[in-house]
Amino acid sequence: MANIDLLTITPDIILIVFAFALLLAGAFSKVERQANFNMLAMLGFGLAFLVNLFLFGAKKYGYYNMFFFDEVAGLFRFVFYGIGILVALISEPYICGKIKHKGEYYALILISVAGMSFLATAYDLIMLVLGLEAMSLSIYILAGMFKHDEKSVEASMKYFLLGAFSTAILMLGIAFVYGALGTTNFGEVVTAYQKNLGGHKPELLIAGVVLVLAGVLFKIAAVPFHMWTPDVYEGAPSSVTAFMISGVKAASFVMLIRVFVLGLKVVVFDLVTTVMVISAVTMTLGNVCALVQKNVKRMLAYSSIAHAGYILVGFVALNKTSLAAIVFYLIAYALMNIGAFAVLVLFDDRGNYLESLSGSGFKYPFLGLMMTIFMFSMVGLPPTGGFMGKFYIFKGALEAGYVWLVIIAVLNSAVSAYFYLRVLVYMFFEDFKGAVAPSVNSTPTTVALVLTSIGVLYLGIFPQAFFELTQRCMTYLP
Amino acid sequence: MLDISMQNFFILTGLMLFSIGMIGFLIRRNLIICFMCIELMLNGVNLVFIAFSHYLQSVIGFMYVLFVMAIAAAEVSIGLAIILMVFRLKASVDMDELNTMKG
Amino acid sequence: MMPVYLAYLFSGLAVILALSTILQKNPVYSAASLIGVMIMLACDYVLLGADFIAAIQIIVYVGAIMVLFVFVIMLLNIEQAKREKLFIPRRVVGVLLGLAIFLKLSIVGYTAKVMLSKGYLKIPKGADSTTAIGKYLFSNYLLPFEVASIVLLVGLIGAVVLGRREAK
Repeated sequence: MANIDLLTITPDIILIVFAFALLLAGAFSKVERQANFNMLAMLGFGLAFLVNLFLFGAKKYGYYNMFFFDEVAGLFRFVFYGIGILVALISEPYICGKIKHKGEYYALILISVAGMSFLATAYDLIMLVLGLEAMSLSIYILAGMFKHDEKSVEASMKYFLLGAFSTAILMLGIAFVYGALGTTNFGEVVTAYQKNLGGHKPELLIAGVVLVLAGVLFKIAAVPFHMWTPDVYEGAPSSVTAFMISGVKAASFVMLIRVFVLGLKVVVFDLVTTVMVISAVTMTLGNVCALVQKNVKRMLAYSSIAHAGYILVGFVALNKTSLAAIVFYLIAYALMNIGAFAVLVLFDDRGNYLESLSGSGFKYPFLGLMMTIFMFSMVGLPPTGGFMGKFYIFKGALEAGYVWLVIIAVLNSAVSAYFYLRVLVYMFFEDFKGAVAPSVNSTPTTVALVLTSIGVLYLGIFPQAFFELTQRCMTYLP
Repeated sequence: MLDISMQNFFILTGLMLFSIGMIGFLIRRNLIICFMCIELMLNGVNLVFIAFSHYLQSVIGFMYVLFVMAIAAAEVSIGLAIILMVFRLKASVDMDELNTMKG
Repeated sequence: MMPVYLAYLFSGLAVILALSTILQKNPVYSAASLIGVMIMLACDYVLLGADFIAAIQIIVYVGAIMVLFVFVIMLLNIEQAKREKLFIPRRVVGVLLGLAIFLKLSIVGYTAKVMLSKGYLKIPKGADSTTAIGKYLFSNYLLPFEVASIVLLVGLIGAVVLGRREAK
C-alpha cells in the first residue's frame, strides 16, 4: 500500500539534484566560468529524459496513491524534458551579460520542469496544487529576471498577482470538491461518489468542479481569464516567454486531462457546452487581437490564446482521437513556438517589431527559412506539424459531431494566415534597414533552430507513426 | 464539539472572507493591499477546509490547510520581492502605474 | 451553548476586520486588520477541533507572513499610497461581480449537506487532530510534503534573486 517508489520519480529527483548543483555552482564560480551552465542544465534534462525512456510504458501507483505514473504521464514528461532542453539551448547567448544569476536562472527552469512533471503524474488534487505552484512560482521569478527592464518587472508583477488570485479560486474549488466527496484522491473519487453521494451531484460538487475548471482555464489563458497573457508574454525575457508559451501551456493541458478525464470523470457533469463556447470565443478573440499587433512577441502571445482555443476543441470532442490529437498538437505547438522565439532571441530583442525585421529574410537566409517554416506551421499549412495537429484535432471533433466548432476553427485559421504571413512579408519583401543582426555567439541557438525545424517538418511529413504512439498512450478513453 | 447545525455557518463565514478578499482585489489599486486581499481569500478557503474536515471527521482538510500555508509563505516571499522591485523602478506601488505595455 | 456564541463572536469579528482590511487607506492599518482576521480564524479553528492548525496559523501566518508584509510596507513609502481614491465608478463592476459570485457561492455553501463522518483518512475516535495530522503527514502525505519543500525552496530563491539590489 505504501509503495515508496523512488525509481518512478527518479527523473524529477535528477532535475532537483541538478538544480541544487547549479545553485551551488552559481554561488561559488566566477562569472566568466558560468558560460557552460546551460550544458549542466541540459545534462540534467537529458538524464531525466533517458531515465524516463527506461520507465516509459509501465503503470505504477506510488506513495499511498498520491502518484500514478502511466503512459500519458510518461509521454508528457518527454514533452516537458524536451522543452527544457530546447529552452536551455536558446537561453545562453540571450541571457549572457543581462542576468547576473545564471545559476538560479537554470535552477528555476529545472525546478519548474520538475513541477510540471509532478503535475503530469498527480493522482491527488494536493499533488496537482503543489506541482502547479512549484511550476508557476518559478516562472513568476523567471519573468522578472531582467530586473532593470520595466516591462519584465511589470510582466512578473501582473503574472504573479493574477496567478495567486487564480490559485485562491482553484483552492476554493478543491475545498468544495472535498466537502462534497470527502476525498480528493482520484482513486477514491468513484467509490466516494457512489457510496457517499449515491450517484447524486449536489450543488456543492458542481460549484467545486466549475471553480477548479476556472483555475485551470486561467493557466491555459482561455478567454474570460486571458487578460494577463499579452502583457506577460511580451514583457518577460524572450527565452522565458518561449518556456512559458510551450511548457506552461502543455502543463495546463495535462492538468485538464488528469483532472477532468482521469480523476473526476465520473462526477464531471455536462461541461461540454461551456467549454465549447469558451473554445470558440478564445480562438476568435486571440486571432482578432493578433491582427493589429506590431510587436511580434505580442502577436505570438495573442496567437497562443488562439491556439489554446484550437486545442480546447479537442477537449470538447473528448474521444480517443481528439485526446491523442491534443498531445500531438501540443508537441508541434511547442516546437514551432520555441523555434520562432529562437529567431527572436538570435536577433537579441532588436527584431521584436515588424519594421525592424524588414528585409532580414534575404540578408540572413537561414533565419528567414526557419521563420518561414515556423510561421507556416502556425498558420497550419502543409507540410508542417501545425497542419497535422489541426488536422487531427478537427478529425476528432468531426468524429464527435461538432461540425460548427470545426467550421469556426477553420475560418479562424484562415484569418490567422494574415498576421503570421505578414511577418514573412516584412522579412522578404521589404528593404533591409540594417535594424537587426544576429548576436555573435549563437551555436546552441542554431542547434535549437535546426532541431525544432526538423521536428516540425517530421511531424508534418511523417505524422502517422507518432500519432499512433500518442493514440496508444491515451488509455483514459476507450 | 459543535453540532451539525453550525457547519453551514462556518462555511458561510469562509465564503464571506473569500468574497471580501475578491472584492478588495478587484477594487484596490495598491499592490500590497491587493496581495493582502489574496491572503484573505486563502484564509477564507482555509476556514472552509477546516469546517469540512471537522464535520467529515477526516484529516484531508487539515492537510490542505498546512500545504496552503506553505504555498502562501513561498508566495509571499516572492510577491513582496517583486513588489520591492516594482517600487525600485517606479517609486510607486500603484497598479495603474503598470502601463508600459498596451494593445 | 457556549461554543456557539463564541463562534458567532469570532466569525463576526473576522468579517468586520476583513472589511476593514479592504477599506483602509493606509496599508499598515490594512495589515493590522488582516492580522486580526487571522487571529480570529485561529480561534475558530480551536472551536472546530483543529488546535494544531490554530497554533500554526498564529506562528506562520501572523508571526511570519504578516510580519513580512508590515516590514515591506515600512520599507516603502506609504505617504503616496494614502492618496488612493477608494471609490472609482469603473470599479463598481468589480464590486458587483464580487457580490454576485458571493451570493451564488453562499447559496451553494449554505445549502450544502456535508455527509457527517464520511470522509476518507479518518481521525480515529478519541484521538486528537494533532496525532492524526502527524501520522498522515509522514505516511499518506509524504510525497506532497517533499514537493512542498521544493515550493519553499523556490520561495527562497525568489527572495534572493529578486530582492537583491544590483548595479546597472
